[in-house]
Amino acid sequence: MKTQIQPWSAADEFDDESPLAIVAESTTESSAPAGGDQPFRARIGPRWALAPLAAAALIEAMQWGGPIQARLMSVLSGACLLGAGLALWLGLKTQRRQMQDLLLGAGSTSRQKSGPRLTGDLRDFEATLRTHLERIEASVQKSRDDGLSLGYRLAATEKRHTRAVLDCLADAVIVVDSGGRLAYANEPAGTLFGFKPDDEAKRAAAEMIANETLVQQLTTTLRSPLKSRRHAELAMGEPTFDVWLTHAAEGPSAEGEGGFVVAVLRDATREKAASRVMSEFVSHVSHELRTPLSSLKAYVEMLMTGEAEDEQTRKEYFGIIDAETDRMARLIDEILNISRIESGVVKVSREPVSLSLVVREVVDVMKPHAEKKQIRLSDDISPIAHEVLADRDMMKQCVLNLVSNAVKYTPDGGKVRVRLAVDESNRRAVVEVTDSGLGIPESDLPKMFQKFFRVKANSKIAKGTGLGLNLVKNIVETVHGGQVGVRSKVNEGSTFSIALPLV
Amino acid sequence: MNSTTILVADDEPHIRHVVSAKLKNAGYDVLVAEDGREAYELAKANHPSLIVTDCQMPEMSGLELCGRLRSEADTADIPALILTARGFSLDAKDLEGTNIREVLAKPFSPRELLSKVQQHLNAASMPVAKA
Repeated sequence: MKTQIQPWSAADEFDDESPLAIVAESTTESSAPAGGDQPFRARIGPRWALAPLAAAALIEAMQWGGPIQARLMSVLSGACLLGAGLALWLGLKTQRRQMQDLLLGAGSTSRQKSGPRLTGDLRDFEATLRTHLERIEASVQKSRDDGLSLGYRLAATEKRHTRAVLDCLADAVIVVDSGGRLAYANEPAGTLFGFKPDDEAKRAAAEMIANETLVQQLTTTLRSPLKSRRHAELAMGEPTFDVWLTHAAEGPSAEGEGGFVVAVLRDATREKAASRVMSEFVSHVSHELRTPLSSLKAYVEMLMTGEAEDEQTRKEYFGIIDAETDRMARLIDEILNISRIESGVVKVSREPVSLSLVVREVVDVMKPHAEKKQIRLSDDISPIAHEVLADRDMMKQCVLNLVSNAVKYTPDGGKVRVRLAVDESNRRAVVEVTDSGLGIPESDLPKMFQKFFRVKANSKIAKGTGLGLNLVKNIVETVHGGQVGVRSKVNEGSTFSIALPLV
Repeated sequence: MNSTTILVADDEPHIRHVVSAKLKNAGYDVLVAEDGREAYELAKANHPSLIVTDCQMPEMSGLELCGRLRSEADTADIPALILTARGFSLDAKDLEGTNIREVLAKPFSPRELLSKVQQHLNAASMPVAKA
């Protein structure tokens, strides 16, 4: 077990790179080194250095003899001490050097074989150190791999999630890259243009999108400055779409390269249809309101300019103004009612309602009007119980509208009958109002319950807003879950019916 | 006819009533019609000096009435004023082929109506170039 004395070199001895620093570098990236910690006990100097020390002590002990021998013994012991010191110093230096070599060489485990040959204690130290360092390296590598794989998995998951979200949208999303190729399309887009969005092959957008206008829009947007946003309307056969196109930048660069276009398509068909219906409605309403308003204005002006010379005429004019004001108020009420029911805002009180009572009340109210036209108004109420869960006032309004219509559109001397029966098989109570009036042409029957619809042929015999039946339909069907119906024959008469579920 | 006759056509009884009252008070003779067809027949039979008609009427609309009268030689020169309750006004294309001289929006002022009637009656007495 002899230590090889290495040649001393200034470069090695004064090497500034502390071995400890190298160890520190490799430990920062990893957590605690794998495996148990083995405490390392450093041994200062080789064991044989103790021998001269022991000899020196022995010699000192032998000094208890004569003077010449004593001086000789002192010199010998001094020499022994010196020798011990020298040996110690040499041992330490060598050890330090070997440790340095060890640590410097331990950076790459591949150089294992070409490391310095060492003494026992240093060998143990070396083995421990090597194990630690190997574990550290493995740990670092694993962390790097885990990190990469985790990062990759996270990115892949995020991509899947993003795609799933985009596929859930109602709108179609299309992305076209700066080369005009289709980079991405969500599911709705695929459905709309008839291709599978999963197809990873990036083909020219012009190839994949059959709509020329859209392709043109995409191209134009690509040529527009970055961050610009455009809107267009796209008609694809019947449905129309609102398209928003954005020229987005890939990154913080902005030289016109690396941009891409995102197009979002939204189905505007329903909106357009709804707004058409709305504007028709508004047009109708304003027309209906202008009519009584015209009377009001005209008569007021006549009164103001003194053209109603006598009391009689003045009274007449005031009467007309009053009546027309009521007419407008009624119209506005009807419209609001219908509107509220349709939007579900109306307050409905549901209670068991006896329809027979409702029918009798309405007949009583309408009798005077019928008599004025010599119309026979009768009721036919079945004795079986017919209670329905309904809003009493609304029920009355429905029956009243039907009977009022019947009387209005029946010429003098005719008849109107209100029938209340139970439809056992369907568990429904049915109110039928039959008249011997003008009847309704077959082509008009499907439109009877539409807003503002009036049968042209019958518009002479009576005025109407065309909202009465629509109100009935809304109350019966929307609010109460029942059903309205009509049967008719021109010049013979009509039957309007209301069916409601029994309680 | 000694005095000038004006034909008033409107399906609203109150309007018919107030317009005739105004014109009668101003010294004109007034004929009234409840719908387009009745107005046409009265116009053919009586050759009024001027027609005041509503736009929307049963049987025949005001525009249709004026179109037919214009296309027939004996009634082609009768000037007409049309009252409309429509949200938008009639444009030149709608008035083509009729002798409608003025469009009045509802609600209208009877005073203004009278002044227009007088204006166009005076103008009508001058020769009018056919469209």
